[in-house]
Amino acid sequence: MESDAIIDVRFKTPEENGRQTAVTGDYYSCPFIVDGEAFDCRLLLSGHHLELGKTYQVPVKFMNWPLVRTRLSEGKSFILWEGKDVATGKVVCLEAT
Amino acid sequence: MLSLGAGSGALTCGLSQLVDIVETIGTEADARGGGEGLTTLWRAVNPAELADIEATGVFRNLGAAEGKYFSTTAEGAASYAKQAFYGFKDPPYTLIRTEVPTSVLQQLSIQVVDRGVPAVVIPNQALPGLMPQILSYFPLPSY
Repeated sequence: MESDAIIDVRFKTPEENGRQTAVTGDYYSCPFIVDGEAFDCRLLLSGHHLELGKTYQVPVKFMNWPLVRTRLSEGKSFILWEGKDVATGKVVCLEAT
Repeated sequence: MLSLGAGSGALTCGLSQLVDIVETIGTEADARGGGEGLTTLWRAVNPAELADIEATGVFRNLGAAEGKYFSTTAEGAASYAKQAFYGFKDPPYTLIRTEVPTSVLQQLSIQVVDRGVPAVVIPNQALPGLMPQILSYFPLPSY
């Protein structure tokens, strides 16, 4: 799966009312909230672990890229949602399409 | 993948609320058909999750999330299935229906995703209280 963008993302810790466990697996699916609107995405992890409280640079694929692409630009802030806000971050760059 | 730094904060934990949700769903599952109102939720599942539901009869989380995403409308689940099929190149989805106590749903946040998918997350601990019903159709999504 080819990514649409590269992001810096930090998952909140349990003390911050975030997740209880690190993020693992081939990918992590969740809504990506930007400017108050949510768009489904997948963080392409390729088996890497994202520890809570640490910042990582991760490629991301959006379910409906045409819908979200005009809202994204370098440095744009976002939230990841899993029933509550579980991570925050900024867009690093958009992939050339 | 590059680690750029770390940080921490101190906010309140929603553990007591989670316990309430799990206990309420468990109680309602035992007393299904009782007095409290139930609300239907919908989920589009891929072939792997469908096979797991057929084998176990329950929802189990096979992914990295700490809960499962459901839509509050059948059209929302259908819209997700359609967009995921084209956007992620996923295999075809199947529609699943289940019910949760309305009082539980009122404790959870609903987020509209991709303009047409009202989504809610049921915590993993509460999933065993839900009864999945496999459907053989999808409504036509508006988007």
